Formats: sequence, C-alpha cells, structure tokens
Amino acid sequence: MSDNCSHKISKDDITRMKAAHKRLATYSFEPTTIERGYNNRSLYISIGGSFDASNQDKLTASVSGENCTVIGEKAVTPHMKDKFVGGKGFGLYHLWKAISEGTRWNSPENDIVISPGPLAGITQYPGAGKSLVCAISPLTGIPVDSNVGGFFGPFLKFAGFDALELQGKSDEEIIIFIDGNEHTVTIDTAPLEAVDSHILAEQLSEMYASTHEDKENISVISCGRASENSYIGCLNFSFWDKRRDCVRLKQAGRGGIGTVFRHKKIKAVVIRYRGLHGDLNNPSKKGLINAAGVRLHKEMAHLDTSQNNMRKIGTANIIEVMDRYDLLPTHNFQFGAHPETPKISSKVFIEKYVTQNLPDGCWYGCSMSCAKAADGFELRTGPYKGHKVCVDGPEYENAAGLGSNVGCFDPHWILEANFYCDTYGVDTISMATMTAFAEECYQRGLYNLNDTEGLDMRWGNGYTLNELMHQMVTGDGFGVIVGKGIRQQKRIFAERFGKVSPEYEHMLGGYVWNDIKEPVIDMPIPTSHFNKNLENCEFLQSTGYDDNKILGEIKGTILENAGANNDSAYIAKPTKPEKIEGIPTITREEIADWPVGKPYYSDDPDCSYTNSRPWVKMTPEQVAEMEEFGMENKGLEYSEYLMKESLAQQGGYALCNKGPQHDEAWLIFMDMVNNQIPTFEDKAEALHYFPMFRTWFGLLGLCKLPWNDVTPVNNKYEKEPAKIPEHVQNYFDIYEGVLGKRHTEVSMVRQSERVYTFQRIFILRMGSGQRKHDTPPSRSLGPITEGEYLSREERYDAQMKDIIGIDPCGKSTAEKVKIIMDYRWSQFKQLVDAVYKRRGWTPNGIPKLEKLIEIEMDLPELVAVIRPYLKEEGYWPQGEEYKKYE
Amino acid sequence: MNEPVITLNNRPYPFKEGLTISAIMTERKYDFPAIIVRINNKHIEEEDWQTTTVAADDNVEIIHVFGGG
Amino acid sequence: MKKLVPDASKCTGCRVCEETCATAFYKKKDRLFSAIRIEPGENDGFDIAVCDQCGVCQQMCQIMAISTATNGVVRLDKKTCVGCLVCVGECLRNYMFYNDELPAPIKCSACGLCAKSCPAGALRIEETNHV
Repeated sequence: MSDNCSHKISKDDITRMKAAHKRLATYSFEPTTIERGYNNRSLYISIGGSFDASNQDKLTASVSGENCTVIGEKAVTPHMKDKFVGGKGFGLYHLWKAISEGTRWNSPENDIVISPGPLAGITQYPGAGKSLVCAISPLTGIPVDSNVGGFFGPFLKFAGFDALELQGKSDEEIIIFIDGNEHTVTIDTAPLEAVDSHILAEQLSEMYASTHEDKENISVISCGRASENSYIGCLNFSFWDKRRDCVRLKQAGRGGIGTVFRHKKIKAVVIRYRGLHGDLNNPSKKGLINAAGVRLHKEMAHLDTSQNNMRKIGTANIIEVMDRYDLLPTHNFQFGAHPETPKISSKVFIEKYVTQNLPDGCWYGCSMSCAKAADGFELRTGPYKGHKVCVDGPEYENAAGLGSNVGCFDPHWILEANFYCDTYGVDTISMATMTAFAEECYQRGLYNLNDTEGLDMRWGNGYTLNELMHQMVTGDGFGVIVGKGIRQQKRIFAERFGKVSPEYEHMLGGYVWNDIKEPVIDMPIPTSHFNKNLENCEFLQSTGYDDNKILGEIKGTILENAGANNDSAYIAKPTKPEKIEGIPTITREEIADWPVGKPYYSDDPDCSYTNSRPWVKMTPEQVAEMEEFGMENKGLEYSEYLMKESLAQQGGYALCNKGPQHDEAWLIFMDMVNNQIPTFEDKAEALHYFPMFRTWFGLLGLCKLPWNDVTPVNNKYEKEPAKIPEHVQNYFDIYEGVLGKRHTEVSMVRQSERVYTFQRIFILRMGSGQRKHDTPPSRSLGPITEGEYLSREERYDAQMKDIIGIDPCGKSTAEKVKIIMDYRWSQFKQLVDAVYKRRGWTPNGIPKLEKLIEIEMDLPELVAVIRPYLKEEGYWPQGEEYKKYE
Repeated sequence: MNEPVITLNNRPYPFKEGLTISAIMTERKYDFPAIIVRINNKHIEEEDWQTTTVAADDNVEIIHVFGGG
Repeated sequence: MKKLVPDASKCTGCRVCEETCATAFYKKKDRLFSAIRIEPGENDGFDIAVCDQCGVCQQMCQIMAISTATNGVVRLDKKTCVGCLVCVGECLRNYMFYNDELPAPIKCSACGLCAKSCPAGALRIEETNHV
C-alpha cells in the first residue's frame, strides 16, 4: 500500500553486498526449551579488542573466529534470576562484570547488553515485546538503560537466549546474524551495506529473509551515520509491518548507546525466528494470561476513543493537554504553553499526516497500537531530499521536543527531524533539549554567527534543526558541537566562544572578529504568553486569571523573537580566518589556566570543528550562566515535560538513576494539580513507589503505556486511582501465568528495589551517584529570568505572599526571582532529604548497609563500593552483626 | 468572621451558595478527559456533576488521573 | 454474503449445535470448544451467540491472519495466527471465543454443520448476492 519506497532495493544490490561479506566466525548452539519465561543462558559476543575478562562469568561454550572474535554462552543462574529478574536487571548485571571503574564509553570492554525480560514475547497481553538495553553512556559516563519495542527481544528469547552481550571493538564494519531456527550465530564483515537505518533495515530484511513473507520473521538492530560524530546515538529495533508492507523502527533512544554500537563498528545485529506462537514462553498458567489479555483488549476496544485516543495518534494525544496545563516545554523549558500550539496539536497530525486505521503494535497483541506512522512523507532537506518515506511517529516527546521546546511550530519540520533522528540514529529527546539549549545560548549572545559559521540558531528554524543533524553526519560544522550534548556544549562553548578582551585585541592583528550582522535578540515578551490558564499550579490559591492582562513591553531577558528565517538554515556565510601569527598554540591541559578573553589555538580530538580558528575562554559569569539553564543532569538531557511547578517531578527527574528521564516517575498531576501528595513524606513515598513500580516493567520486558494510558471503568472507585490497581493486578496475573509464582505489591517492590539500589551503587562505582550529582539546573526548579517570572507574575506573587509569607509589593522583579528561587532550592533540598531517607540512603545519597541487608543485596562487590563512602560520612553501622562486612 | 470555604484538593477554596461541581471545574478550567470527583470521600458520577452542589467545609477532590508518559 | 442466521425464538436450548461444532473442529464434546454458544436468555428462552461475519476483528489483526473470503465469510487462518486474542477483545458482541487449551481463537466459518444438526430449525445459512 505504501508509497514509502524512494530507495528501492534491487536483487543485484543484495547479491553484490553479500558477495563482499567475509565470514569471521560461526557458532552453533544447542536448541533449548524455554521454561516459564527463561532459557537460562545468554549469548556473548566479543568482536575483537583486548581487555581483562577476569571478572566476567565464564563462557560455558564458545568459538573463536578471525580478528579475535569470540562467540559463546553464559549460564543464567538461579542467583541472577532471584536478584536481577531479567531485562534491565540482567543488563546491569552483565555490564557490572564486564567493565572496570576506569571504563569509558569508548573502551573496548564497554558492553552493550540487550535483554528481554521473562514476560517478554507473550502475545496475549499488550506491551510485552520490550527489550532493555544497557551500556556505559558517552553522555553520562555511567550505565544507562533504555527500553525499546520491535521484534528483536522476543525473537532473541525464542532463538534461545535471555540476553545478548556485545563487547569488544571491531576493525572492520560487521553484521552479526542470529538464526533462531538453524541455531547458528555468524559474524561477517559488511563493507557495502548502508548505515542509515531506514535503508539498512530494508536491505537486511531483504537479505536475510528467504521470501518476502519471511520478512515478518526478521528483526534488525541498527543505528545511523549521525551517531558516529555525536554522543546521542540511538539503536533502532525493526519490526515488519505486514499491512504497510515495510520495515518500521522503534528506538532505544536515551543515553547514546547507538554511539557505542557504531564505535564498535557494528553495522547491524540481525535475528531471524520462524514459528512464532503464543505459548513459546512455556507459561505455567496460560489461563491467567489469556484472561488478563482479553480484559485489557476489551478496555482498549471500548474506552480508548473516549479516553486517550492512543489508537489514533499514540502518545501525541497529550500535546494540547500539556499546553492547557502549562506543562508543554517551550523555548528551552522557559514556559509551559505557547499560542501556536494548535499548529502542532494531535489533531493536525491525525488529519494531515498520520496514516490511520491500522493495528500499529510494535509487538503482537498490542491492542493499544500506539506506534503511529506518517506514510509517503516527502523530505525537504538532506541526502534524502525529495524521497517519500515512512516516519515512525510523532510520539509526544518528539512533537514537544522538536516542536515547542526548540520553538518550532511547523508539523512538517517536526516530522522531518523525527525521520532524520531515527534514520541517522540519534535520540530525539536529547537532540531536542540540547538544540533548545544551543538556541538559548545564541540568543543570549553567548556565541555568534561566526561561531556557527552562519547557521541561524534562533528559535524554531526547521532547516537549522535538520541541518544540525546533517552536520553530525559529515562531522563538520556547529552541529558536531551540539551533538555532543549539553554537558560538552557547555565545556566547548566555555573554551572557545568567549569574547576577546580589549587588552588582547591586538593579538588578532586587525582581523575583524564579527563581520556578520547579528539578528535582533531583544524582543518584547509576546502578550500571548500571559493569557494561558495558569491557575493549576502548586500552592496557588487565588482563582481565575485575567485573560486580557497585558503587561506591555519588557525588554531584555525574554528570549523569543519574531520567528526564524523560513528559507534556509543560514543567515550568512562568514569567511574562515587564516591562521593568525602571534596567537600561541597550547595543550588541552593548559586551557584551565589560560586567561579569560585571550585568544589561543588548541586542539580537541573529540570535536575538531573550529580547531582551525582562535579560541577564547568565556568569563566565569558566562560559564555559571549556562549552568543555570542547560537542562541536563548527570550529563543526560531532560525529557520533555515542564517540571517547574511540581516539586515531586523536579525530584523525579533529578533523582533518576540514569539521568533525567521521566520513566521512573511522572508525578506532575498527582502533585501539582491534584495536590494528593502535599508533604515531603508524601512526595518521597510517591518517589519510592512509582520508580519501583516502573523499574519493574524494565525487569520483566514490558511497556509502561498499557498500564495507565487506558483506565478501567471502575478505577474511579479505587482508593488509590493513580496506581490503576486493576492493571497492577493484571501484571501480577501474567507474572504468575508465565512464572507460576504469586506476586504482590510487596514482592514486586522488592524485586525492583534490588535492581534499583544495585544501579545506584553502580553509578557510585563509576564516580557519580552522590548528592552533588543529583543537583538539577536552576531552571528546572522555577523562573530564573525576569521574563519567566513576569510571564506568570500573578502565580509567583501569590506564592510569595501566601506560601513564603513575603509581600511582593514594591519589590523589583529581580528581587522577586531571587526570593522564589531561594525558597524553591530550600524546598528541593528538603525533598531530597526525604526521598533519600525513604529509599534507605544516607544524606549524601549512598545506600546504607542496613538497606542492602534488608533487601538481600549485601553482595561483597556492592558492600565494597559503599563502604568507604559510608565510613567517611559516618554511616557505617556499629555492632557485632556488621563485623563480617568489614 | 471568615469567609466560608470548602477544601479543594487539600487547599481552601471560596464557597458560595449553589456552587456545583461543574461550576468549580469551569472556574478552574479542569477539562482533562479523565477526572474523578469525590466529596467527603464519596464518589460523584460524571452525569451528576452538573447538579451536585457542595456545602461549606466540604472536602472536595477533583483528581486528574494521568500517570504520565 | 454467507453467514449463519440464528432465530433465538425457535431455540430449545438442547445445545446440539455446540456439540456438533466442537466435535467437528476440535474433536471435543466440551461446549467451550464451540464457535456457537447457547446461553439462557434474559427473560425466558435462549440467546444464540454466533459470529455474524461483521469483520471488525479483521481490522485489528496485526499479522493478517483474518481475511474475508469472496463469499463474505470472515476466516481465521490458524496457521498464521499468533494467539494474541486482540480479535476476541475487539468483537463487539463477544461472539469470538477462545479456549486456554487452543493456540488460536474459535471463529465461526459459517460451515452450516450446526444448522443441519439443529432439531428445532433455529439456525440457517443465509447466502445473498450483495456484499
């Protein structure tokens, strides 16, 4: 049906590509039968590179191939199943053993672990096809976990493995093929295949399927070219869309795992499994699974249209809801709403772009079917300009991030950026948040058009948004800096883009530094920012809001302009300077002590863009300024919900183990609107239960959406409706159905606490994981600029008067910003204290020994990590029973 | 004497005679599709929001059921 | 269009149809293997639950195991089916059945065996030209 095929693949092409393959290794494995969700073994692949493997679990069988490749198996032990369950638990378990404290993202021993959980692959309950992917992240330097759909995870399990490890680093481009029916794993060099996913996944589906019909038995993990020059690479997991007759992609987006994948020179991992049916997990009590599945299928059939419309538009249904409740991140999280949001509302995507009436599940049995797509979408930029393609999306995060947060209110550009993110293999969320940061820096005048080589970094230029990614592919241009993420942007901007001090101007030898006319950056606050319904905020007790209130012009701090250039990504092209005599070249180590404002040459192997021109360090004030609004924590970019008015969500983001992703907790409505968790203890309890409950999805191989994106009719009578207790019971039923063991809230929380605490200690082991690392940027807590304050002045004034007890009358806006922000920092501090306490951690965020004993995770390797921290902080417990842990 | 109030989502909210659930929701611009209403812990069905009035000192909960992305 | 048309007013509740169906397709006498189900009616008499070939289930089958034949009968290909039961949930009148012992749902194919076996003449196969 689709007209998505501007990149037709011929049989000759496939033959040519295959002929260029060189076999590096072949491994044959014994077939197994899955027992209650587990194969009890995992697949280990090392693709070359030397590293110390002494800490790793032994291979129970293996072969060695050319170029130091190794393929083998490891046992999944009762200990692993008991403590780590599966999925993310197995990922972190293998990763812990594979690496050392000194391991960086590009060390050969960094281990990409892909694991479906014990429930993954059942077809009867929606959202049971998930894989969890773990690795050391290039953005954060700590383990990241990412949850992804597509067919790969279930096929891996049915092929015979509970996890797949990819370690080492190849010299040549390779493809790994797992044949689940012939029981072989092969590694081939693959010099000719494409890298970009929308082509590669088609090529490999064609290459490894014996017939067209066989394509439904293939799944491909791939990445894309932009991940090679950025830190935000994602992995695409393919699934065959039988109705569209094309390959679709789902992303393991967060944390740059795709960058690790491409650094290892893996082009793709392909799996084939024929013979799918609903009982391959060999479930213990199938009746429980069937009954739960049909219950939820019926809810979807009857309730979705009146509730969330997931079947029509997927998660994008909430774009306009978020805008109405002032939660849609806009212009780098300054605001929560924008007058142009109707242009990118779900209705627009439904009516103009998304192809309808298809069962869009990313695994079988998903009656929620949120994996929407726009078919026949014609691209305007880049190497595929003019091609008609299938865009997977838009999901809410993409529309909010690549839309309002970067200031783009044109649905075409959102979809085009969505497409390029996917095929180039970059994470839409990080891409959006770090572009928004770069835009705000530009509009604050922290760097200029010379630094971008003419690229227009004002809000919302759709050409620029895509051009940044095209530059990540070529490895040249300002996009390469953006692609390193906000933490690196802050460092690179600070090293390079300062202003030359007058005392050093002579060093430039008459070179005119800034020869491009800058765009206007001082603009009045659009009054439209003021007339939203703003009363749904925490603490605010006054009612109503004057929709017609106009504050007049306020110059200076608001960062919005009349709109970007609509024809091009470029405002002008500056000339590149010749090397200037008399400016010294210094080493990277010398930069720290180099004077501010004095030009110098240096070299940054991580980002060679502008290596050829003089750099100037920024002032300490400018560096501090970027810290305030650079929306990252632990090195990961924030996901796309405005958290300013919800203290609990500020904690949900900042205390998230991998960095600020809302998959641990989304508490904004419970906290801000419903005010159901008013005290610190209430919020801490929510920041315990929900992260534990949601962690559990990642252990079992489940999707979060069928839990609460449809609500059973009787949920309104529940004591704790936010938990959707009936659906939680469904999960306990399918757990018992597969594994044969009863499950309760207590045992479920215990399973998660073990892995969650393990992950916290893991990040501590990697040099993060203390209280200071949980500190968020100021903007996540409230209005840091006068413009932000004034846009919601009535709200903040009321809070000051009613909650803080200070009369705002007669105070300047700057004074008021300080009062609000000081108060909010003190609130945040108290929240962190309460959450750490609830989780059994010290005030410095270190899990206590007593907690490890309580949850039966007092493993020697974990105690060894926390011991020095606990002793230093004075939390090492005294008493005879603790002597054995010394 | 203090103005009469109700408690709305754990916060004081001005009371006036004949105040209905629907009127509160309009005032607060609560238009989310999944909302639960309880008065003094008693569930109020959606079809009764128009006609149900609150009394002074009532504890009203208007809960948006949305657990997020 | 070919479909089974029940006339509940004639049904005596003898359940011969259920046994005929379950035996023919699954070699079981258990009525829970039948694609037609007789239930006590709300007042007196009986309700006959059987597929009317409306085809709503077909739209939501991701692996396209359900198709409409030229004679209008909506067929489930059990070899292709992966047993997800989405079709069971989708069926507006709950006329699609499943059994935990079976890998695929139970779907009426309008074969007419039950109609032939019904002693009360409460079931007949209707074939019309319009689709």
